[in-house]
Amino acid sequence: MNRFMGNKKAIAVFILPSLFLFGGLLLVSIGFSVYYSTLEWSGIGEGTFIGAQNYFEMLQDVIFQKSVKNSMLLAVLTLLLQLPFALFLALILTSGIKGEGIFRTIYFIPVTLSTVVVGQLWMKIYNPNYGVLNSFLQSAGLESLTHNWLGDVDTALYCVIAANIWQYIGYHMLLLYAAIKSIPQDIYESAQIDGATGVKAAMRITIPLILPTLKTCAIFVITGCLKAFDLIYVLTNGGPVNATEVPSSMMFNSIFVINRYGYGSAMAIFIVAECVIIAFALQKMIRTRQVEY
Amino acid sequence: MAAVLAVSLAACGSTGESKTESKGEENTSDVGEQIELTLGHIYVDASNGQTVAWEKALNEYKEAHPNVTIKEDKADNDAYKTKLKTTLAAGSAPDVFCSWGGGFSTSFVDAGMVENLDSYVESGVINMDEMLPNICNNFYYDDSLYGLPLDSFLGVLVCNQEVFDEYEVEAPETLEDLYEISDVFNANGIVPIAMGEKDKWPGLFPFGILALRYGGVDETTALLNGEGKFDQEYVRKSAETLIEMVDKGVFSDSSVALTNDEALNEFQQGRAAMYYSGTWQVGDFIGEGMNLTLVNFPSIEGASGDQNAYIGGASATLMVSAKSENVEAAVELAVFMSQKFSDYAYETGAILPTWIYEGDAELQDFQVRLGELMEGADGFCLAWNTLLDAEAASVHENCTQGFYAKQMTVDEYIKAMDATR
Repeated sequence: MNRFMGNKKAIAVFILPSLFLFGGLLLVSIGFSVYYSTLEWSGIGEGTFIGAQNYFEMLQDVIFQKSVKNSMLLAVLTLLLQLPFALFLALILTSGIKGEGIFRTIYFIPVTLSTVVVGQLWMKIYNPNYGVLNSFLQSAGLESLTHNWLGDVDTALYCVIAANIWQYIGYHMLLLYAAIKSIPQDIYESAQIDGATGVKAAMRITIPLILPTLKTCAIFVITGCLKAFDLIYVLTNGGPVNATEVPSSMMFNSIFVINRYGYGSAMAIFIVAECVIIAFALQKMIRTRQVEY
Repeated sequence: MAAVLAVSLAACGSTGESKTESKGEENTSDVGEQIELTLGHIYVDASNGQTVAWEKALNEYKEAHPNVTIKEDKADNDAYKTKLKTTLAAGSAPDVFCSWGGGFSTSFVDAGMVENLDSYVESGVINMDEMLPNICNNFYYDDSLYGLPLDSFLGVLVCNQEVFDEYEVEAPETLEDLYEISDVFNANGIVPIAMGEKDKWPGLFPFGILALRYGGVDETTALLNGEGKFDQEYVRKSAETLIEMVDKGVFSDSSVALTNDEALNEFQQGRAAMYYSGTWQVGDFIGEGMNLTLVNFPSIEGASGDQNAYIGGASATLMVSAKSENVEAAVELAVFMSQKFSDYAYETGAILPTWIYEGDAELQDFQVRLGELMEGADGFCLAWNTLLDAEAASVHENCTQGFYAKQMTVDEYIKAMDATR
């Protein structure tokens, strides 16, 4: 093994295929997008070179600023609500309850549903006339709380966030579940001898040991929310009146509705840069040692 | 890994070659050569009268031209628009494709992706005299014809006569009448006019007709075609009246949360009394046994525009790709489909005709009624998002949605629209 790791030529050859794939698919595409973002182009025919003007316009666009705020709000709220809940579920499932396998499957089902299906499902739940949410509030005597959920500028974003949280709880729960399962039982046994069981064991032993996985989940949540598109497109299409716009939906709108491919590309590069920077920052901030058992 | 990449590169190379070979073939459909034409369209809903007519016309074409294989590239309206723009940008657009006139296709024509049809008109392949007069007005770019008509529509206020009879009200003739009957309907838990404003385009009909009532057809058409700014008296009045209508409850409070399909559902189930949009669905409503009264949008007392003008015209068009390998055959297909679709869809009551109808099928009552309305009209103007260029249309749609959501003021709207000029 050491002889292989020392042989730089061998390493280079084995990395080459991944480099082709990574370079070809990612770097070349991003490179093209950077080039397109310097053009004023309708997507068809010829474009005119305008340098970084698209970026200046984008940063001054009030609606774009709102969309960035929306995506950050989505990321923060999802992180604060989805991860703890996923962790809670994972901890319960690994504590040896009955029906562990069944519950694991049930919680994971929303993840397997296509986002369009999830969107349609939640649209029907939020429907102001016959939706489950308003019907439930009415029958519980809370009729004053019934709202025009997806049609009201104030509530639309939070409704989208709720649907987003619901869809991916199972995904993070499964990652954390696997991480918890990989902790050897002897640690718990020795902890038991010292008198740490149940909640104390969870807080003092489990969570610190799965910190690398928690960090991975956090990065997934934040970058996923910053570039979220499909659920917003299906539920509200950025509406009502731009209340739920996110950078990706604005990018889609720029390219396919108002025919400004260059402007849309600038937004795409913004999203990529934003996600890369935040991912790096998170990695640096949460330093964890690789735990060896 | 490298082998897989090499094989895929080779595959890409070989498809490129076959394309250049086929360019040398004959490109009319009369010679016995096997040619393939791709047809992009939006007629996917099998329950819709238009789809039935489209398939009938297409089957007739296939039987008459056994040497032509038609490959259909169809998608639902919104998805189709995205798909079309992508394939046009990639240079692989269908040979014949549905599109929309006015601002929608400007970028396609400017980039040279659409076949100029002037030469075909001159040679007689396209006979303008067989079409209704002025029907192709929205398909001219720089005075050249680029598209053939698909359907014509009229913006009518469809009243559910059963609901009207139940509450003993009559179809409104003036705006004041509309407010009165809206109060009656709201008091009884019925939505006056069904509106699915989540999709943004349905809300443009009331705005558009108000502009015609206050400003008139000529003024509005000139404005939409690029003349002048939006800060005009009649535009302001239209926006103010729309806000007034929303405040008075003419539309449901939840209109912004409903899609057009959900609004249609509301109307069909009798939970809404009226529906104001194009004539596309009227045939389907009648087919379901609804008792309808069709009228123009109410007139406005004291308004200086055209009180009996209609939103309407031909906006959907059939275009031919300039990059097609079989251009002449494609044009033939487009002419055939345009004419036959007009005939068959008119017979089923799904559309208003664009070619002069020479068949002798018996017209249904509502078609006779629509004919009456058209004959008495002051003039027609298409919806604002058809005639405006893409960016202005998008701003207009968003702001109009804002009116329905009670989030937009008239000044903000005027400012946003003028910024696009």
